[in-house]
Amino acid sequence: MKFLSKLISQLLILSMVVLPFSTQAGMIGTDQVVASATAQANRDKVREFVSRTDVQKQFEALGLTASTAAERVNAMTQDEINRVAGKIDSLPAGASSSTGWWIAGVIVVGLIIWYFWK
Amino acid sequence: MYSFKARLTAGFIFLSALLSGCSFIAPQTYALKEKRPADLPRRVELTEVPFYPQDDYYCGPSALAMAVTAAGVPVVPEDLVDQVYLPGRKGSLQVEMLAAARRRGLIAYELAPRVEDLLRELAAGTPAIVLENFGPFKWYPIWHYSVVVGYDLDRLEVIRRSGKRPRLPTPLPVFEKIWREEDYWSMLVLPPERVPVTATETKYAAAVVALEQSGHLKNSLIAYNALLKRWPDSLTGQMGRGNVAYALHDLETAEAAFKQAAQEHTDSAAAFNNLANVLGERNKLNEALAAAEKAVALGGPMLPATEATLEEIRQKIAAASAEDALRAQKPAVPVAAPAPAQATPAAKPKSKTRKKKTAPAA
Repeated sequence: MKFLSKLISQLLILSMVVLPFSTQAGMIGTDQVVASATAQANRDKVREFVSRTDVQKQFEALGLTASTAAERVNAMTQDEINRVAGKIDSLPAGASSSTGWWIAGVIVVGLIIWYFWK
Repeated sequence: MYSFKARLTAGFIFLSALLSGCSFIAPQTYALKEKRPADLPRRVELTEVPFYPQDDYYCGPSALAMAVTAAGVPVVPEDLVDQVYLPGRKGSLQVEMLAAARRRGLIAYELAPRVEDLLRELAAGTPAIVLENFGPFKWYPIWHYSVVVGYDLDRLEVIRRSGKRPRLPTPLPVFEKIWREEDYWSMLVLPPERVPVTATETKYAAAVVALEQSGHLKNSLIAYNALLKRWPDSLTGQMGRGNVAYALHDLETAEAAFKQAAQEHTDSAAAFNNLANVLGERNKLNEALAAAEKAVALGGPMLPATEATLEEIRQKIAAASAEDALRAQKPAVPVAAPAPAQATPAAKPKSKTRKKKTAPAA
């Protein structure tokens, strides 16, 4: 844990030092054209970096290998990452197994019985 | 304590209210029943959408495999497990369903939360992945993805591929109830040339940009062209077309696209900036300078980038005139050919070192 937080803080320092100078002459990406002016102004590279690593860490905690987690985070847009960062535990995860149905059925039947005969 | 009979009556009323699409349980179905859109076909079923039965917890990969295959890229659920399934959650997140569709080079589009829009997309031939919640209580959600492949307005039902059932007609009010629980979330998977009939320019443009960022450049170029066909003056479409052409080293197309963007959107600093870059690379330095100056004059949040572009163009011009001067100094040299050949490699590293020094200042 200590190692991890040390690593993250070092990466953060690096990103804070490097990112402000990363603007170079060149093409402006289509994604920047789409983002509204306010979103542009609010764009915080460090925060984006944090939510990215946060999602990746959560993915790993939920059973993905480090490389799969990284690959899957990379496939997401920044908007998508912001949407899930910090709440992967509570967001809908479509699954619905037959076991889930059985549990639901038992709960519903149990409640009906309780409701009528309490 | 209410009597057993009263409770039974209440339950019966609730059920019949649900089935009749009463306004408080299934408001959109109710509205549709009251006033049917005249231009909507009464009955649609996309029989060509394949069916993949779902193994436990794998409804995400199954639903996605059906939609992706229907969009023209054959896959089986097993191919997608590694891309959408989260073991710790025993399920798949919505954003990963979107991302995984893009990884196949397809457009992933989230529909507006409207039953009518869903029906319109089906009528146009696109099946939809929907997220449902069967949970009896807020604290016990049972999330599930299924694929809606058709509807029947006369019988007031939708046709779903769900779990192990390839064709499951579901009463529309019941469907709306379980769909409404997750804010009517649904997504389409589309081949790049097809724009959803209910799409808005902003949302579709964002979907195409996401595809471009995923690295499927050729498909995103097709999608930008489709976007421009529907919304010819879309700035995102014009810029996207230019950026993808540039990335594919087609500078001519890129120049034309950015020129059009700059002409039609005279307030877009990004259009002028990118036009300046392409013109600079094509050695049309005077035009490039004019475009770069205009980009800087427009200001805005992209100012650091546009200023850097202007600086680079100025350096290019300085290097070019130095080269000209060098050539002018030695007009008497009979062997003219080696002189510019020497001058070019000499000028290039020079401008590069200068750029590095000035970049932090800008």
